[in-house]
Amino acid sequence: MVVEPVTLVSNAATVNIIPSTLKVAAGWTLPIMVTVKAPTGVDAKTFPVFSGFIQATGSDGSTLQTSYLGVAAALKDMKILDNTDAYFGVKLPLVADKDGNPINGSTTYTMKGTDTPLVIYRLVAGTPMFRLDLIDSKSNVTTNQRRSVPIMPAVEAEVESREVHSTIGKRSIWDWLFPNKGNSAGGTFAAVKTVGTVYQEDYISRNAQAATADANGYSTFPVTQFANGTAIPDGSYKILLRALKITGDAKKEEDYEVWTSPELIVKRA
Amino acid sequence: MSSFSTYGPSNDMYFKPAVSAPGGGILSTYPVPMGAYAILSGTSMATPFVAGASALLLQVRGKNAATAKAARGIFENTAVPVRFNTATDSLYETAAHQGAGLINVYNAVHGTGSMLPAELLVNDTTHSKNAFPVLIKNGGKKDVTYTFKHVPAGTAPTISGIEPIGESKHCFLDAPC
Repeated sequence: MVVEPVTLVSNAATVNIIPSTLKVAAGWTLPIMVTVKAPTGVDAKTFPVFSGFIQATGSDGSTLQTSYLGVAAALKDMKILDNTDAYFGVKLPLVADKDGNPINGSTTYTMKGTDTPLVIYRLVAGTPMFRLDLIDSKSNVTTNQRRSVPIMPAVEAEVESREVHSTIGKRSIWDWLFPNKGNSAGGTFAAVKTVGTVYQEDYISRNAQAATADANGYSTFPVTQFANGTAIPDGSYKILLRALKITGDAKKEEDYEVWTSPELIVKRA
Repeated sequence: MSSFSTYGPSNDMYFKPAVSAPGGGILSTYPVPMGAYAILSGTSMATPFVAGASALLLQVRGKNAATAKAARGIFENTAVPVRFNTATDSLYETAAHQGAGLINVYNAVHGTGSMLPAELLVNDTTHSKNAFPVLIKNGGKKDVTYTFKHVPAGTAPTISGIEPIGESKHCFLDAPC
């Protein structure tokens, strides 16, 4: 396996330190102000991570430093799902049949043994929340993975808070256990009508650059039952896959990358 | 940096890793046949350095919760950044790979000053924080005048198209490793 270091560019942040020298009496603590502005001349589409060190050299020969780090892009723009055919030669995500072949249209599963839908997907970035639900096959929830722009434009009407870190709020266990109970509290994510949740995982890392699932090159999930252990009744469904964007708001559907499968018919023999 | 050292930062731009420790070609008391010791490389060789440094820190500064909570900042304040490669004009390695730099146990254990916060998280363009008050503490017995300098690390593009940069390349079914 060829492991190459990430090539660096010299575009550096603009840093000001005020004051540039400071006398601190024995036992005292005094403040300085450090301002850091992201580098220019870098392509935001490459999500350039900039960093550096503020070094303090003391007249007694001592040294101290603090380090800074940021990214010259909006994290919410980072693509989460591989929606290309680069990996398998066929577009991801996909659902496979019992023979491991991707389904293109309506497919029937007996749910016996390995005759269950297998969801295959590949994360090119980590996601704070990954969810698989079953929806009614006649539902008009659609994917935002076939278009070059998301279906719902980002609604940034709220004033950004002065939060330093990501705006991932605490999602309560309530939201996870009862995903549709959020309806009255608002939230377009919870408003999407689902038949039931198959799988949810929080804060998963991206897949690795590897050729096998064992090496985490891609991920699979067999849809055998609902996440709470109940059986999936015979019927006609689609899989709804939703991956939350980094720094996205878990309550907003438009902050997810959304994909729906072709129709799956569950019909026990 | 060793090729097996993984990159941070966290997905939402927290400062990871914190510091680095030696892990390449480490000699240790791992006996091999004919009475020699093994030389190995890996993160398993670096972690004992950090564990040992932490033990020394606790021993000298006090075996208590306050030292433990301060430890990360102490190691970051006293770490020494390394360059990307051995060329004299090489950029400094990104903090996303080395953290604050190579741990310096002696300065960490015996230093009396601090510069906090030890991590200035600028975050992304949507949540950007750009002004950071930093407190310089002189815990010694003599007055000290500090002179400040900005040392930038190289900037790392991390995504190409939709794919992460780095790691192994060409590990796809149509182009095996």
